[in-house]
Amino acid sequence: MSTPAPPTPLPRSRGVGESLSNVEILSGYLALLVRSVRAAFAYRANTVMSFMTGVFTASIIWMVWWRVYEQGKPVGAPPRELLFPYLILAFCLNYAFTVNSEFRVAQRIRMGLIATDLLKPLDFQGMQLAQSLSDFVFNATLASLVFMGSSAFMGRALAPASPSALAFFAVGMVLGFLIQFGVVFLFVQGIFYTLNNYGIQVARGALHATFSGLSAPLSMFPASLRLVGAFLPFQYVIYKPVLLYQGQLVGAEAWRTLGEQALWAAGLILTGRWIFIRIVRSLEVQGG
Amino acid sequence: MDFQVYWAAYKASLLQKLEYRVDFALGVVTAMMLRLSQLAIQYVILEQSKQLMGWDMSQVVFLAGMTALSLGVSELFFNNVWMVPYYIVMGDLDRLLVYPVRTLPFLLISNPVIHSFGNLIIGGVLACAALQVNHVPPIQWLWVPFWAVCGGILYTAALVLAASLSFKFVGPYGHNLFFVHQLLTANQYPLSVFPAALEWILTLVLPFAAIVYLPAGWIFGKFTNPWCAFLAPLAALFMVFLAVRAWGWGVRQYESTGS
Repeated sequence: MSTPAPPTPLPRSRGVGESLSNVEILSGYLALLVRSVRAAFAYRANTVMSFMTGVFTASIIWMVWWRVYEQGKPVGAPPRELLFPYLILAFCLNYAFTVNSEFRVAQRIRMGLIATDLLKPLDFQGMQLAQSLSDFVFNATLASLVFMGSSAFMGRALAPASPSALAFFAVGMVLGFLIQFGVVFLFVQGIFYTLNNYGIQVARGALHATFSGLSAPLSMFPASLRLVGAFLPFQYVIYKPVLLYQGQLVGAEAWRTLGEQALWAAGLILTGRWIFIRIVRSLEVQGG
Repeated sequence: MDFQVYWAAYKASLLQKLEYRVDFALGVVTAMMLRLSQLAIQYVILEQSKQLMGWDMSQVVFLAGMTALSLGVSELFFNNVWMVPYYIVMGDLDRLLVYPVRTLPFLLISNPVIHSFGNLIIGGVLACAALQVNHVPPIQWLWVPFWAVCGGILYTAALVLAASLSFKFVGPYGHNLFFVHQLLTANQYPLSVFPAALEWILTLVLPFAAIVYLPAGWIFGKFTNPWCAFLAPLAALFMVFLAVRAWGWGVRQYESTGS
């Protein structure tokens, strides 16, 4: 007769009110990021279709600009050799920065699952940032295909203006992503009231599409539109980082741009957090 | 009998949506914002070049207006086609398939969206403003609702074709439908702007040209062939025929879910 094996000791359960260590918090966000990236790669046919749609959408405006320049270079417009690399870079950056927070949060609010998210021992804004980072990793991988494909045709035109331009761009891109996340998180707060992502997502999308410089550099905009865009954060997501890359903002101007980006990022993220804390207090969770 | 059932289902769904007044207002305003954002980009482009392949800003505005109207009609009456990929993944189509009605029309009409009014309003305003600026005789304005209805039907049929692919390539997101949507929005520009291949695709394969570009060219005197005005209903009927066939093929591929 064999003696029964001693029971495996259970991991110590966390006490009520006991908070997570910083390492546990970070590994929690990392796990969320990895799982989100895996989920994004799960539906391959959908991914390919989504990517093709994105490229086609951007190429419509490229084809229009191409025809405009064929008719004759507009007075005061940048030369073709500068505009088209700009448009390619703007597309890549925009595609990489596409985050699905509005859709995700709206779905969870409607199904009542937001209650589970709020009970998790991780910060809600931090979780959204981790998932947005996963969107970035996934989308940036695909966008890099367009960048590499275009580089094969355009060669040096798509290369950074200088090593310092590349360094400025790298920082500008990180700050641009944080601004994008800050804007999205701010708009997400509206979903807690409307329970529907359509209006919120479309409103942000419309402002972003117009004022980020996705379809044309803001320097080509009429003065009235340029003036409106100057008071909004969208130009710091795409337009300014691309100018940094192309070496059109150098020295003190480049440093000032990074400073402005940092201020926008901090302001938007903190404002979003402040609003979220107040909204959660009056949140009614949807039932069953 | 069938028609009464469809009408009752549509009416109930629309009235339910209209009850949410904030949603209604927000949907209308944001749909208009999206169209205006696209118009702003067209404005930027035409500020640079003054005309695009012989089309001036007011005529391009008409193209944008007609595109928005076609979109609005489709969203108001047949919007539920966008849910097909999700229904397939979740197995929700089972419920629809056992209803004693034709699945496709019942599915299409059972979820109108109220932001469609935003597209209809902005589309109507843009189209009428363009006709006014171009001194088009008022009697010819009557073509606009006719082309808009044909446009809504043709666009929906193209979406059904794309949605049918979701039976084979399963996934919860409607990117295949969004591709069709982007093909429609390309019609906001004169098609002669695009490379010949794309122009032919938009004229012959998914004939959106028949509901926006060709009628607009005819009404502004760029094309003299009267067929440009009458092609819209023919193209819409042809696309409906294809859509019904594709849907039948798709349903035969449907395997439901395991749970």
